[in-house]
This record gives sequence, C-alpha cells and structure tokens, in this order.
Amino acid sequence: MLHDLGAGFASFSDPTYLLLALAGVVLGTLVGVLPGIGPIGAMSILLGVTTQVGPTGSLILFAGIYFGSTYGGSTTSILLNIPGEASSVVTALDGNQMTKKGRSGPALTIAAVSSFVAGTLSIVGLMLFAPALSSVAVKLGPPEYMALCLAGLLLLAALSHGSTARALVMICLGLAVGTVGIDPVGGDLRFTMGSTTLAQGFSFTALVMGVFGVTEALTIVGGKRPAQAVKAPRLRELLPSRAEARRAGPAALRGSVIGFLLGLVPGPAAVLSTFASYVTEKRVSRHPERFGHGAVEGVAGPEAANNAAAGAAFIPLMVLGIPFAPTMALVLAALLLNGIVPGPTFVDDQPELFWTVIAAMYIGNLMLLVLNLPLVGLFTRLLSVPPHVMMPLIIGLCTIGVYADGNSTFDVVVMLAAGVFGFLLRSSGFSMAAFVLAVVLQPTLESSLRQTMAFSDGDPTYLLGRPVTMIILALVAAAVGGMARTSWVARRQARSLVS
Amino acid sequence: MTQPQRAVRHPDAQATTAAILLVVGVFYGFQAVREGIGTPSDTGSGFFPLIVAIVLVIASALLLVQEWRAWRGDPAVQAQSALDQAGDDEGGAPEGEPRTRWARVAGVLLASLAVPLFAEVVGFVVMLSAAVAVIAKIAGMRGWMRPCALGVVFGVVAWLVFVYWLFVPLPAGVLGLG
Repeated sequence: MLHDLGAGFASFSDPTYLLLALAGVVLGTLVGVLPGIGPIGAMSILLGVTTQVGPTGSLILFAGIYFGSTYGGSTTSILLNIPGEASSVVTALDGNQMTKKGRSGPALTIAAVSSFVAGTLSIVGLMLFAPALSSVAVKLGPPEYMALCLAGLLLLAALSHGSTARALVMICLGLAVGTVGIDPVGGDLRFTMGSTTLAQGFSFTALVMGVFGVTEALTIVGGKRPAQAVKAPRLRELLPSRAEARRAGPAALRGSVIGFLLGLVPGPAAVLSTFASYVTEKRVSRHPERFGHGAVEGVAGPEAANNAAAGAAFIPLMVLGIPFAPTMALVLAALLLNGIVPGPTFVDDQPELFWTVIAAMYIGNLMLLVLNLPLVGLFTRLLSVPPHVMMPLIIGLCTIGVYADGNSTFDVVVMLAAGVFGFLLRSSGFSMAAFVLAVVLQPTLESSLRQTMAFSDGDPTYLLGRPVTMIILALVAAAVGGMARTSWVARRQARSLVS
Repeated sequence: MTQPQRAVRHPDAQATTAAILLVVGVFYGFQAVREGIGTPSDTGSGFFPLIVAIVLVIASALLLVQEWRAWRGDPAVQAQSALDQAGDDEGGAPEGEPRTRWARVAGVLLASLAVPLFAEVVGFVVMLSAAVAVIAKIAGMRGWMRPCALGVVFGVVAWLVFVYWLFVPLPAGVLGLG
C-alpha cells in the first residue's frame, strides 16, 4: 500500500498534475465563497475540458474543486452568515456568532485546520477501508434512509433554539416547498398550478440565498438589527486561544469520524454529517447553552464532518461505481467521458489512477491549508466594509449567483420571495436552518418512506425486521425524549421561580 | 457589541403568524388530498404532502395555544416565549419594538425585482449594476457618485468573473454585454 502511495506521489513529478491540483483548490475555494455557483456548477462548466486533461487530471481537478468548495463555503457562513452551500448551514450557527463577538479570525482558522485534519483522516480511511465500508453502505435500504432522514429532522427540531413547535413548523414548510414539482416516485406533476416553470420545483440555490443572504441584507437595511462595526483582526488575532484550541481538537476528531461514516451513505451526506456532528457536540458538551452563541465546537465539528464526508463520498464511487451525491455523479461523468468505468475492479484495473488521485487529495488538502490560512485575514477584512457597501454587494452576488445556477429569472424572483419570507419569520425566532435542511432532505425522505410503504404493503411491523432502522429510530426517540424532559423540567423551574 | 434593548413582545402579532401558518397547513392539506393519497401499499402524489400538512397544522396549533397562554399571562410560558424570540438559530438579534423601515425594505426589494423584470431587455449586468447602485443609496451611501461607482465596479467585476471567466450566459439586452 505504501509503495503504491509512493508511486502515486511520484506521478506529481509531472507539473501538469500539480497545476491541476492548484487550479482545482483555488477554483473550488472561489466557487465556495461566491454564492450560487457551487462545486456542481463549476464541475458542470468544466466537464467539457476533462477530455483534454485525461482521467487522472480530471479526477485531480474535480477533487480539488470538491474539497476547495467545502473550505470556501464555510468562509461566507462564518463572516456573513451566508452559507455558500447546504453543508455550511450548520457552521453559520456558531461561526457567525463568533464573528459577532469579534472572534472571526479564530473561527476561520479553526474551520480551516479542522477541515484539513478531517480531509487527511478521510483520505487515510479511503485507503484503508474502502472495500469493506462500501459493502456495508450498499446494504442500506429505503427504511434505513427514511430513518436517517427522520433522525436528522427530528433531532433538528428538538435541538433548535426556541420551541420545538417553531422548528417543526419550519421543517414542515421546508418539506412542503420541496414537494412542488415532479413527484419523485410516480413522476406526476404536483402543486405546480399549471405552470411549466414550477415543474422543476423551486431552485435550492434560490431558496438558500433568499432565506440567508437576502434576509440578512433586508434585516440590516430595514433597521431590524444595527450593523456591526467589526475591525479586521491583526495576524496574531487570527490564532485561537489555548482554550479554544483545546475545545476544537476533540470536536474536529469526532466530526471526522461522524463525517466519514455518514459520507458513505447515499443522499445529502455532507449536510447530515454536519448536523449529526453539531448534535453530538452539543450532547457531549458540559456547556450546551453556549451552542448557538459562538461555541467553538459548533464550528470545528461540523467543518471536520463535511470535509470527511467529502473524502468518504469517493469510496462508493470508486469501489462500486455508484455516485451517492450530485458532485460524485459529475466525477463519474468525467471518468466515463475518458473511457474509465469505476466499479469493484477499479482499484485492481487502474492502480496508477487510483493512487495518483489519493496522492492528489493529500496534496490538495495541504494546498488548501497553506492557501487558506494566509487568506483568512483577507476574508476577515470583508467585515470592515461598511454595511451600505456590503449589503448591495450581498444582494448583487446572490442575484447573479442564483441566475448563473439555473439561467432563470424566475429563480431570482423566488430568491427575493424567500428573502421576504425569511425577513418576516426569522426575527420571530423561526429557524431558517431548519427550513433549508428540510428542503434538502425532502426528496430522500419522501422516496424512502413511500418505497418502504410499498415493500411492507403498508404494514408498520415490517420495520421490526430491519434492525438498523430500529436502532436509529430508538436512538432518535431516546434523544428527543431526553430533550423534551429537559425542556419540561426547565419550564417547571421557570414557573416555580416566577410564582 | 451592545445588544439592542428588548422591548415588550407582541402576542397578537405572534398569534397572527401562528394562525396564518395554520391556514397554510390546512390549505396545503386540501391540495394534497386533491393530488391523490393512494393506498398504503401504493401511495399517491399527495400521500407525503398530507403527512407534512397534518404535522404543520398540529405544530401551528401548538404555537397558537402557546401564544394564547402567554397572552393570558402564564408567566412560565411568557418567559419561554420571550426566550424563543430572543434570537434565532442563525444569529438573529433580539427583536425590539418593531420599527422596521418598511420604505427602505420595499425600495431594496423593488430595485432587486427590477433585475429579473428588465434583464432580458436592458441586459442583466446593466440592470444589476443599477440595482446595486440604488440599493447602496437606499442603505445610506451619501451622494449619487459613490453608489453609481460601486454599481459600475460591481457590474464590471461580475461580467469578468461570470461571463468572461466562467462562461455563464447572461442576458445581453440591447447593449449586448452578456
């Protein structure tokens, strides 16, 4: 194995591969920071050039974009409360709070280092466990996906700031918005009101840019919240304190493990992993009340998780030839365009390609760390831009990003409508993160639920024969029950205090 | 950073929000039934939406009850309700007495809405530059030169990045800038 890896690194004596890795991570970081484009957009645009650079070059370029975008997405989440992509939504919860407390530098540094650690660990995992873990992941059926999605949503409702009912409302609204368009099981159009534009459903990019970007801009422009005057920190202020580093380290390691395991699961693994990591950190913390108010663990864990999930997502693609995420589907397309068909014999048939890509991931992760840490100060300087400059730029970027994503002016209108929706509801304590995550999980949840119903002939006892499903549901029930009890005790104490 | 002073909450506004959500849930549920529920072994397009609608109605009703109890003066519920509104998951600051500058909000929305409405005719980049300039002016930038300069710079950079570099086809309009 080490010999093979050495051979992979030796391939980088060809400067073309090094340049492709650098181009990939820089472009990935850029599209992660810029709202709307995202790794899928960038990969789609570059799909045509993959035949020019060959299968190895394509994989190196696309892996760089993929890892880079997860880094870049966290930057706007932390600095501007605008998640560059769905997997950065959770990072915004505490990351932006750290920014508001003048700790943007440490937040970005912790995010970058956590991402590097997780990315590196996931590559080690990719090398060691690829075949065995893929065989386990592929055995999961619709009931398990349904349980995983339900776990994510129910735990989100239980852990959201404020009342569970508020979070449930937002989850339901997110699921409802997700159902507009084509029925994922039957293929019928629904809730389109006869409009062909709505047949494809609402653009996720438009929704997320609306409820985060436009809402943020309207909140400040409308005077709901005074703009912050934040000074860009000096270089030494970018370093986290010892206490922050001590709290971030274990969180990053836990997030790496969670992200790696969930990265093997089909569907929105990166999103689920960030949420699962956040929940875990809140559960193990001695100070859960800090979460949502700038907890370091709330940045380190999810950032590690989404990078680990990004690395793990390559396992089912390379070993089984099955892309479990849209980005992986584009990687598969690039390989197919070059005449390479990944599958169970991929590692044996294409050892040079496999190990060169593994080496590229190591090098790409190192490049990201080296590039992003010095650039942290540059991104942090965005905060010194006055709000009357920043707000129009945010709306402008969101507008062009949403249009670029779908080439549709209707999507821009959807974004503005989502911005108004977020503006009206967010100040009342309704969670936009819950709404967005529900939109992401809706297709997987609905498909898996209805497939489970079909398999079981509508008999709920069918789930008793699915031990993994039962374990997941039991853990969720225990967690939700525990949190409901904590809430009830707190309310009783409040009542006794005020009476 | 100093937090804005928290003001008296408005149970009526909160209850109205909950009631609207309840109506939305009921309407969505009716639409789901119209789409077709199917049978347990062969579910229809409306099956999943109906479940969502039922949960939405229940959650909205719970919110409505919570707001009603807070309005009636249950101190524990009042404390909880105030805590719920004290911020949000995304870092929303405590909301004081609503003093939203609605004219500003409407102005920003109208300027933004002009982009999709007129982009095909005037050109996406030109409309976006104009919108950025107007929003900057609404947001408090002094004079007209600086907002216009910001709009032009944003338009040029946006064109270079999206059109020239990333090959995103933006509507060119009459000026053919796309």
